[in-house]
Amino acid sequence: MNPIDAPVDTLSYMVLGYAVILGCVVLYIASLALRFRHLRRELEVAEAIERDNADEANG
Amino acid sequence: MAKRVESDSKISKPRGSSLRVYLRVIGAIVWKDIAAELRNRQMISAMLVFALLVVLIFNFALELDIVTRDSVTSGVLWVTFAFAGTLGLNRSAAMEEDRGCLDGLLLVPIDRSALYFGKVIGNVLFLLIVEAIILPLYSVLYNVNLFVPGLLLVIVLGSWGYVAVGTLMAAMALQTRMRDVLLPILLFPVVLPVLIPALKASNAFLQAFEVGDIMLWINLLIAYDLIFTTIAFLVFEYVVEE
Amino acid sequence: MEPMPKQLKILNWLTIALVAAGLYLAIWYAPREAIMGEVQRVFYFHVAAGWVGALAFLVAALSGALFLIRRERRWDRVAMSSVEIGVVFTFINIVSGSIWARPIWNTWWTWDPRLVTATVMALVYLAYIMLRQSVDDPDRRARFAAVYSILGFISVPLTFLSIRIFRSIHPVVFGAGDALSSGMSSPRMQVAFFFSLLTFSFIYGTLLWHRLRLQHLSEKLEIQKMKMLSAEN
Repeated sequence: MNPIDAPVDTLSYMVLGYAVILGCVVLYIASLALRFRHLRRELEVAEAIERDNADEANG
Repeated sequence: MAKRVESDSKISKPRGSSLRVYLRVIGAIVWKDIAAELRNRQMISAMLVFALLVVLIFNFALELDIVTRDSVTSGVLWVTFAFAGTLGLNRSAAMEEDRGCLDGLLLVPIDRSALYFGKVIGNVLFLLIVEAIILPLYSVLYNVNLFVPGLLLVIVLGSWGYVAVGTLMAAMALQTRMRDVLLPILLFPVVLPVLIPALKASNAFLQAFEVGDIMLWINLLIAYDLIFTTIAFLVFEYVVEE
Repeated sequence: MEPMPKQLKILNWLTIALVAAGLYLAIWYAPREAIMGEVQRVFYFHVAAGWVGALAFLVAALSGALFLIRRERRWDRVAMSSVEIGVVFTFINIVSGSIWARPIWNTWWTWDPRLVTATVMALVYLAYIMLRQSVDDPDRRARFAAVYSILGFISVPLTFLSIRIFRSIHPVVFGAGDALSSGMSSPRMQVAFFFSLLTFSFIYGTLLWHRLRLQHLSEKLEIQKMKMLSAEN
C-alpha cells in the first residue's frame, strides 16, 4: 500500500461511505413516512365505514 | 390450571420428594422418546442416511489432497452433525405435536423445565448415536483416525450445547407457519458460540496440538453449555404455555 | 391518530441539529488521518451505526424480558420497533465498514471479528423478523419474539468473544491492526467520535419514538378492522 497514493484515492470512498450511511437513514425515514400515510388513510376509510354502518343501524 | 392425571399415565400423583418426582418425569420423557424411536427407528435412520449423504457431497465438493483434507475434517464433521441434528430436532418436536403428547405432558403438575430437560437428554442421545456411527465410517472412508479421546469429549460437549439451544428453537419453530424450515434460520446464528470452540478444539485434537492450548476452548465450550442450558430452561415455559 | 406531541417535534429538530454538527465535526473539524486518508472519516459514523445496532438489540432483549414478566403489550411494541431500527443500522454498519475496508485493505470484506459479529447480529435480527412474520397469534408472537431476542442477545457477544480469542491465538496479519486503537490519537478525532455516538443515540431515540407511533397506529387499524368484521357477523 503506497502511502503517497493513499490520501488521493480515498476521498471518493469517503463520499461513497457517507452517501450510503445518510442515504439509508433517509430511505428508512421515507419508508416510515409512507407507512404512516398509508395507515392513516386506511384508518380514515375504516372509521368512515363504521360511521356509515352506525347510521344505517340507527335508521 | 393443572389437572391431576390419574392411573392411565406413568406419572400419577406427585409422591416423595419433589426432586425425585422431577427426575422421574425427566426419565419418563426420555424413556418415552427412546421407546417411540425403538419401535420404528425412523428418526435415527433418517439422520444417519442424511449424514452419510452430506459426507458424500463433501467428498465431491472438496476434492482435496490428503494433507488439506486433514485440516477440514473437523469442519466437515461438524457441518454434518449440525445438519443431521436439525433433522432430529425437528422430528423430535413434531412428535410431541402429532399425537397430542405435548398437551398431555402439559397437564402434569410439574415444572415445565422437566419437559425441557427430558427432551434435551433424549435429543442428545439420538445425536450421539448418529455421531457414534458416522465417526468410524468417516475414519474408514478417509483413512483418518478419529478415535482421539479429546475429540470425543468435544463432540459430546458440543452436541449438548447444540441440542440445548436447538430443542428450544425447535419447540418454537414447530408452532409457527413456517414450521421446520424456520429451525435452521433460528438456530444457526444463535448456536455459533457453541460451534466455534467445538470446531477449534476438534481441529486442535485432530492436528495433535498441545493439550494445554486446547483447554481454553474446552473451558469455553463448558461455559457456553452452562450458560445456554440455563437460559433455555428458564425461558422454555414461555414457549410451551397454552 | 393524535398529532405529534410537542416533545417529539423538539426532538426532531434537536436530532437534525446534532446530525449537522456531527457531520461538520467528522468531515471538517477532525484532522485527516495520515495513513488512511479521507476515508477514515467514515469511521465515525460507521462505529456509531454499529453502536445503535447493539443498543437496539439490547433494548429489544430487555423489552422482551419485560413483556414475559409483565405481559403488557407495549413492551412487545418497543421490541419490534427497536429491532426494525437495529436491522437498518446494522446494515449501515456492515456496508460502511466494507466501503472503509476497500481502499485500505484492498478487499470488500474481511473476516475481522467485529465485522463477522455484526453480520451474525444482522442474521439474528432477520431471524427474529421471520419468526414474527410466521406467527399469527399476537400473544404467541410476542412471547416467541421475546424468547428469541433474549437468546440472541446473549449469544452475539459470546460469538464475538470466541472469534476474538481465536484471533489472539492466531494473529492474522492484514491491515493496519485494530482500527479502534489506531487513529484515535488526536483529541479532535476523539471529539468527532464521541459526538457521533451521541448523535446516533439521538437518531435512534427519535426513530424509535416515531416507529412506536406507527405501531400504535397499525394496531388501532387492526382493532378497527376487527370491529367491522364482528359488526358484519
